[in-house]
Amino acid sequence: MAKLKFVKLDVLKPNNLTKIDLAKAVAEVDDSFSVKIEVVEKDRETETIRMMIDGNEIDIDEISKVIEKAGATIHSIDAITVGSEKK
Amino acid sequence: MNIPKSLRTTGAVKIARRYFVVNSFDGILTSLGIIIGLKVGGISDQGVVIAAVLGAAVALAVSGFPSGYLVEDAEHRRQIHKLEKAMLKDLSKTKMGSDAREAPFLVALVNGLSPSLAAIIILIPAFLAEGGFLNRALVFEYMMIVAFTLLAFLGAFLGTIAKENIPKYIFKTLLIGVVAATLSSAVSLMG
Repeated sequence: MAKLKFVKLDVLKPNNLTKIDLAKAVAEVDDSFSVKIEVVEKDRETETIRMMIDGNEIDIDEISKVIEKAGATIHSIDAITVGSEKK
Repeated sequence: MNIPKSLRTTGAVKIARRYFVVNSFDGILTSLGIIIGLKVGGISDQGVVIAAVLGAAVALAVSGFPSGYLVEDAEHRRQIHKLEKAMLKDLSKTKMGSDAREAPFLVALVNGLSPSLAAIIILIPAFLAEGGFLNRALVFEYMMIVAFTLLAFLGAFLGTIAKENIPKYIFKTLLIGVVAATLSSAVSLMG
């Protein structure tokens, strides 16, 4: 079955939520996750970031819940990679 | 030391640190003033000293906790509302919202407990004398030593925060103690 292996998200977060805390919160969803964050734009109160998540099987709803719970918002899903494991 | 995450994420660590130093000073100098006032007034009964300083400790805690909570809660709400406007999103159910509700409580605890704790530490010699472990005649002197030792600790703490010369800060806090003690003695003598 095809699984979501990579996702690139455009996220708006408050400045006082650190990139490290947010990345750790997302990475804790699954042991296989590796999270990379790049800053796109920085304002006085907020920051737009590009979040790239690699994993064996990404549950986008779960990721979305974690990001929203932390206080950030997903603006868009900009890229994905879907793959299936050959048996 | 493990700092609660809500203090870190809300930026309240600095505020808590400030409250700790300012209010510990209050607790130490208030106790010092009471001790000197009683000594100059000729009261040597440590039961009276314990009652007076404990009374002050309770009053400082009762005054510090609610005032600290109300101020910090208002500040954090303001900060969250500002962020909500920027994010176009309700943050009350997020981790940020719960941190903003928890941080004022923790800061208020620091605000209320630090002066009381300082006052209670200064009372240790009086408690020991009451239990017969210390010479009752020297209780005031021991309490003064404890008070100045606490001031020295505060100086060291400030020096550590500033990452500067620690003895310089110890000297400053001790000097404030000497000034407060001298003024208290002078005023008590006049009374």
